[in-house]
Amino acid sequence: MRKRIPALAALVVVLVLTAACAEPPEERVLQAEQELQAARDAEAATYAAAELRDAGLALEEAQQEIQAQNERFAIMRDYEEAENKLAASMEKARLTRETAVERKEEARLAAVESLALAGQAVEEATTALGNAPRGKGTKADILALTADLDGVRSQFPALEAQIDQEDYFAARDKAASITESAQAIAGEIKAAVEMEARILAKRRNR
Amino acid sequence: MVRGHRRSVVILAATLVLFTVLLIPWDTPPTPEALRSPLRRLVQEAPPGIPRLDLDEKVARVSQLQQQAAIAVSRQSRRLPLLRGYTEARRLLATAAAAADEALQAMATRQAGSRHEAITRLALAQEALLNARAAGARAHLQTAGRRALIQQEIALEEAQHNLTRGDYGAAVHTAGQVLSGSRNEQENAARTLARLRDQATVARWRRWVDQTVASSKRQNSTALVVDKAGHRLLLYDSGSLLTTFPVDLGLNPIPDKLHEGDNATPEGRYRISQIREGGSTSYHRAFLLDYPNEEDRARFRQARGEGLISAEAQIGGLIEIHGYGGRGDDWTNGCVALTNPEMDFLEGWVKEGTPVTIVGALPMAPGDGLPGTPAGAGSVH
Repeated sequence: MRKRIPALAALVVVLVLTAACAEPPEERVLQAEQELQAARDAEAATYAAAELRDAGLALEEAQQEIQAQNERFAIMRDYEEAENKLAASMEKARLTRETAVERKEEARLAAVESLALAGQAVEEATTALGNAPRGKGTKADILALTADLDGVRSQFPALEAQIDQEDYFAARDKAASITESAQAIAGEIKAAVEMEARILAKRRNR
Repeated sequence: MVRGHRRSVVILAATLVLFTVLLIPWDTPPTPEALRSPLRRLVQEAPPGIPRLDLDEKVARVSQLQQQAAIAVSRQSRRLPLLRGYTEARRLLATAAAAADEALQAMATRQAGSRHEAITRLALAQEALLNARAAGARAHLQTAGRRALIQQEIALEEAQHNLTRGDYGAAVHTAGQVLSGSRNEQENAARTLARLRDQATVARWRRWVDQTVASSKRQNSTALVVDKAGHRLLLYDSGSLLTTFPVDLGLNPIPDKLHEGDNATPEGRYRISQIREGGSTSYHRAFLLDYPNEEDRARFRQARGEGLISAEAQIGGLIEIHGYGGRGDDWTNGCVALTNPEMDFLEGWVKEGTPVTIVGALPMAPGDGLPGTPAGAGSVH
């Protein structure tokens, strides 16, 4: 019995030390990866690219810290820093997802608003064209500008398709272009009307 | 006894000294911040708009090297402090840092290249569109042509917005569409203008002008020639060119008039059938032409028979030379417009029956003058 006591004591010490060894936080890593994927699924690459990169970086650093700790003696391993980094990564990924959803909605609203503005600009140009005096002097301009306005209007189906496909940034670019063109046409209508008025005034003064 | 005690102290002291020396590290590891630096720098300094797959590939490479450096540091922890060496770890970290630098440089170069390509394409597209606009203006493009050009202009502005937003791929793609679309329109305009170079047509115009000038010389009378492409009216008297005036033409000036409402100025040999002034015209002064003549009627019948124009179309009429011109633009329904003072001047030279020959173009060989001038020697070459 007395000879066995030292062996038993050594066994107890080994068991205690083994139990005290830290385990790598594998489940937390999985959770962090899932959070990051959820941010990607929310189109963060488009709407919150910088934040997504930061969240990805935090996860990468956490995984590197875990790998580094795994290379140490079992009893020397400490995963506390890795756990902190994983928590930071999950929080960043969650915020990234929320930011992406918010910004996507903002982009959608901006695209819809720019579509409305484009429609309004075309409407105003059409009204101006309708109100322009019809005379031989304005006929050339009216024919030309009617064709131009038709060309502008023909862009709307493609613009609406972009919004339907959630390509909001491209839709805003197209809508801005349509608005600029319609406003330029309205300016030309105004110039044509003013020129006709000057010609008529000349005739009356003869 | 004392000697034995002193020996124990010496042995204990030596053991303590040895133990202490073994615990002193002779080499220090890279700091945790230094170990994280290459990847952090790569991710945070990567230019925006880099394709995700490209960035992921570079991140993976730097991450792997950085990881190897961290592992090399960790493995040293198993050794006694005196025996630890971090040379390999530092080498791996330096390689990771160099890889990050190289990746950042490559991305910046690629980004600059993409931007440059987008700017170049946009410039080409802009030039092509300007050329198409100019060609369209020369050919007096009608509805379909104008609609196509405005669509190209909208697309060009869209490409500009893409570029401003940093979406270089989209800018290049849209500018490419503008480039090919504009070139198409330019070709369309060229086809419209091609009739001005058709040999048989040009030969016919030459013959008409020669005959008109010769007749004016023979009869010592006045004749008018309208050169549509040149936008000018030539006044001849007794076969000699007296003067020329710029003219405004129909909205659709290039083709020969075929039917009412086509806004084209007719081509042919006509005469002034009536001179109008005062209350009988809204255009200060007007010379009514005897359009349509027999040739015009024959062409109209043929076009209607071939289905080129609708059965309900009318040949039209009331083609005049009249005032309120001088706008530098083609705006009439087919008439020829001059300024009022020019019409007043012409009125002193023409009468009912004065020949008016209208041609699509008055082409001449280099070095020749206009018909009826000394250099032109009364003929068109």
